[in-house]
Amino acid sequence: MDVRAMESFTSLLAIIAASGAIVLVFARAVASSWTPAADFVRSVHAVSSWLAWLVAAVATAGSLYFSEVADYVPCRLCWFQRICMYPLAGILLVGALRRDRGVRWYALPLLLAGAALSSYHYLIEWRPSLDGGACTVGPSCTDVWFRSYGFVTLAFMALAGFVAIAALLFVTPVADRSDTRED
Amino acid sequence: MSQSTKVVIGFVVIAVVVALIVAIATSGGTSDSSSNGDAADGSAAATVAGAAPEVEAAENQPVTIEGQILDPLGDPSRDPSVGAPAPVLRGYSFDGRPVTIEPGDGRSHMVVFLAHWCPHCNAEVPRLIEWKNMGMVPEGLDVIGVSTGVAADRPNYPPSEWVVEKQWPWTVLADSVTQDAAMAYGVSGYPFFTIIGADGTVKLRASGEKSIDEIDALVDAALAG
Repeated sequence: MDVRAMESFTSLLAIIAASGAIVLVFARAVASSWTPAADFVRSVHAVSSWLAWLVAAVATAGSLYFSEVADYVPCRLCWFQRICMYPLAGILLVGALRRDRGVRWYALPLLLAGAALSSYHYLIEWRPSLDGGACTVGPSCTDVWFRSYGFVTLAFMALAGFVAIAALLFVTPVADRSDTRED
Repeated sequence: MSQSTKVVIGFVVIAVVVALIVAIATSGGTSDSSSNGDAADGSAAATVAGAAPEVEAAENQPVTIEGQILDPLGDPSRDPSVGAPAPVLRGYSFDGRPVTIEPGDGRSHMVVFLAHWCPHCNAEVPRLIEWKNMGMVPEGLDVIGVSTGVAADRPNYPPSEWVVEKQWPWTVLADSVTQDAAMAYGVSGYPFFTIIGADGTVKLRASGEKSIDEIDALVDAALAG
């Protein structure tokens, strides 16, 4: 698979992740009054720890592919987002193996910081003038390596990843507030 | 594992497989990628009058530096390079014609370092052109652009065509692959301005987008000081 195909593939995964998060949140919002939605939320919740880990793992692998194989040089904001995403791949794996729902609280600071950074990064990709008015010598965070389907960039993918992980970890079925291990 | 959970897992697997198939099938033209990949030399000529080409046309050209290089710009309000002699740059335009930035030749200079891919440079160039068209360039001030930070896999490559497309009206010196000219002037970001007095000393250095009024004010202040 060449770089262009990988750009398309990961862009589609990001769109699926973001869409899935929106659907999950909406389903939870109407779950109290619509049984199919409640069933859907319960079904996802049963595997949400593993799905969340999968998102983090794929995001980590994709990020490394673009920097180490495609030679897209990460800018400063990219590095900060990596600091938030890469540990999640390990933390969430342990949480999934231990079936520990409480892992979401350990992930929360990374999710919040990562989502904020990727949101800002995505914003300045569209409005470079908001980023202080000068390009840095070296990789610039306002520089867009690619924009798939008109709006999917690396920053968008990161944002979609953080949002999807947050939705999977924090959207729980109605009347389920347990943070204990399931065994 | 409940039946509905298996359905969820199945949907995720199918979605990933479909995404893979779509990506492979459509990878020819779905993204606006900045990967131009073609580092061709011999691009459009810059508008430089005078001597015949001495070297081959290229997006990067060798640069010779004479004099003390300037430290990278930190706080512009406390620039220790103000008052220091500006280094001489001897290089070439994109089409291989010699270009020299020689401070102390009796004329003032404004050296503008630009990167073709930088969105701030792309915004700044039209303002500089308008500044010129409004007749606001002081008499005796030579403006010269330096194309630096050239990257074949980033937007608006090649810069030789970019300056023509932008209708840059002044001379352009093509920096070396190792950005020797930018390093000599302590470039800390793009766009980067260095105003040199007629006595050959640095009057002001600044980085980032500037409005026409800001450019005018900076130039007036620098040349008055």
